[in-house]
Amino acid sequence: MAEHSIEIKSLHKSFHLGKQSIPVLRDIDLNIKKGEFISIIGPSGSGKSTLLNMIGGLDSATHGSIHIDGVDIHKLNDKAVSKFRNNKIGFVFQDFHLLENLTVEENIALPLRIQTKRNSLSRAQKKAVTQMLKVLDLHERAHHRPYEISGGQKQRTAIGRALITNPEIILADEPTGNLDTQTGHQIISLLKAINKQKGITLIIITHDHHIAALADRIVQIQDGQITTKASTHKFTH
Amino acid sequence: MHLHLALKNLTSKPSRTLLTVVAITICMVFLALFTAFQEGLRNYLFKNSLQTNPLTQLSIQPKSKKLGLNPLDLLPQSSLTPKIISEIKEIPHVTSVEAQNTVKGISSLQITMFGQTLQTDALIFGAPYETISSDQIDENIWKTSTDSLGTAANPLPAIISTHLIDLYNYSFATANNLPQLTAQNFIGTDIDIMLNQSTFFGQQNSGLPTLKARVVGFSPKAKLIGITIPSDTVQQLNKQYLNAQDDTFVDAYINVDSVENIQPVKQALLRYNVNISSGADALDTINSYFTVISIALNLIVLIMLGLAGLMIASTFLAKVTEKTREIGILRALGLTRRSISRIFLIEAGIIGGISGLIGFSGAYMLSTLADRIILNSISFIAYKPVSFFTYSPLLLAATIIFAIIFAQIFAYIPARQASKVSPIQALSN
Ligand SMILES: Nc1ncnc2c1ncn2[C@@H]1O[C@H](COP(=O)(O)OP(=O)(O)OP(=O)(O)O)[C@@H](O)[C@H]1O
Ligand SMILES: [Mg+2]
Repeated sequence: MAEHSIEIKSLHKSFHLGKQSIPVLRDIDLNIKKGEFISIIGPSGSGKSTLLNMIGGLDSATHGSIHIDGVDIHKLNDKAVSKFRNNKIGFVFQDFHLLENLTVEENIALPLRIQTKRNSLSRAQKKAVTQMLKVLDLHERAHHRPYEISGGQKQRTAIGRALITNPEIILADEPTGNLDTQTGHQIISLLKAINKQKGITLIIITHDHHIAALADRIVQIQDGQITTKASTHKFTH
Repeated sequence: MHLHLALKNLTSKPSRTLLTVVAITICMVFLALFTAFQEGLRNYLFKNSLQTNPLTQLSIQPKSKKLGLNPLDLLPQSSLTPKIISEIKEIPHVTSVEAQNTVKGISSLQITMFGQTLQTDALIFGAPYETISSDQIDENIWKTSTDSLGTAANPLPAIISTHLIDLYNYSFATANNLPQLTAQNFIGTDIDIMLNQSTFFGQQNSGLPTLKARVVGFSPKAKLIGITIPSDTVQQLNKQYLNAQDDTFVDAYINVDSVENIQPVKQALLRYNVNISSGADALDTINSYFTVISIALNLIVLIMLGLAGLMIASTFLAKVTEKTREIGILRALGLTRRSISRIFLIEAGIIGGISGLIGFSGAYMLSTLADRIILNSISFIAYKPVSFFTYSPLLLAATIIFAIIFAQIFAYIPARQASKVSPIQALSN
């Protein structure tokens, strides 16, 4: 049990539109080991993003549970689940979701400010941010705003922001969706390197089978249900 | 972290921030201005009132009935005789009685100024030195020698009501194209007094000498319809020329040892059938006037505050809608609901605080201007306040704190709404 960092048990999720209840996830069972690289594939509207958001504690389950490091995250109150997100989860989105009125540097530093609730950064934190900018080759763009940099740079900024608090899990929802193929591959290589070097659990949603094939395991979702839990070597296309 | 994000938000849309600041500032200008005006006016009126009517003083007048249009045509219903005055002096807690007498009958006064001679009917009142002691008049001047009274060499010392100068400047001087007077101009003016003579009623002086008087000062306690001279002199004139043995007093100020004892003294005075008024009564009157003014001014401010409040609320609602995506991002990064709403409240607080500060400064500048304009246009009034407004550090602090809280109250609902934004919905579009 301890080897699994994420344990999902008979997870159901329905959205309510008026009196209508739309089931989006049905009976999901999934265990993910610490340091594992998982890719989630499936047709549009199948519930991939919903699942990822629930792992990140952004939404609660209708039935079932998600345990992360043994804690049922949907039983946490807002303060605790926020702290959990801040400390353990790093989100990377298709639309980058950077704050437009903050610079690249400030965007990366933001989770640290949220962590300490302080307006200014400590010396160690400043050093970590500078280091992160260098690693991601963004140090020349540190004081630029998101609209002044390229898509690849934006996604690297988002990755920097996700990594700055040394999370246990990176949740990436189509991180290459808005990038050209080459930049996309660079971003995936970066994420994979982080996964391998730091042992951070990596879950990527993708429509690109080449990217999916890089993962340790592929989870396919259809109509809100897991249809395949294949290791990459079994995966064919 | 909250402040950091709030400031970033404010500076990212400076024109909208500015607009909200302007709206609240306008309110705060009026709020501070009206409050300072009410304070200023109250201070001035209270000061004036307490000068004429200290809180430890009662004033009594015989009751009388008005007979006609002539203000001097009164039918006395009661009188203040020397006997009553000496009885009043014996009432417990009464420290002294300043009785004001009057020269019998109507006198005619003749004043020459700027080559013009003004003749008028008037009363000549007498006041003890105590009554006018606070008006910077030398006690020795008031204690006149009894011989060669009212001659050119030894004129009677006279004081005039401060309000008379205003009246002169306002009506007489303007109508006759004469220069405006200040209190200082008046001092040293000679007055001829013809006892028992009236221009109005065509009554001729029956061979009494014309007395000379000279203006030595002003007092708000001097009666408006005449001049006031020492009460001893009045008594002497009555005896010497008008065949009156006893003084009758027109009114009296009764000094009481403490404010608490005003009430028992008032009770004791009831049996003399006189009108009694006190400093506290005067303040009550001022206060009741004030309630009306305050309600009117505060109503205006309230309406403006309502409008500005709605503007804050709508600006912040727009802000929240516009920032939905950002709120989603911040929630994903680990910001709590409370923190989200706190950021908006801090923004509102900053906007409010700045508006309060600017509003106060604006009000201060406006009142300097208003003072200058008003004081210029009422230059004929001799005794006027230095300023109609009273500002204090307390008012500054109150304005700023009020503005902060005010802005936060109206941003509260939008801030709550922001905290309820669903992060997944916010991030999905
Ligand atoms: N807040 C919501 N309210 C109602 N329905 C929702 C909501 N969020 C998602 N859905 C529905 O749930 C289903 C799954 O959505 P989800 O975003 O998880 O799909 P997805 O697999 O990520 O699709 P895509 O590949 O297009 O991103 C969709 O049918 C969607 O319309
Ligand atoms: Mg999706």
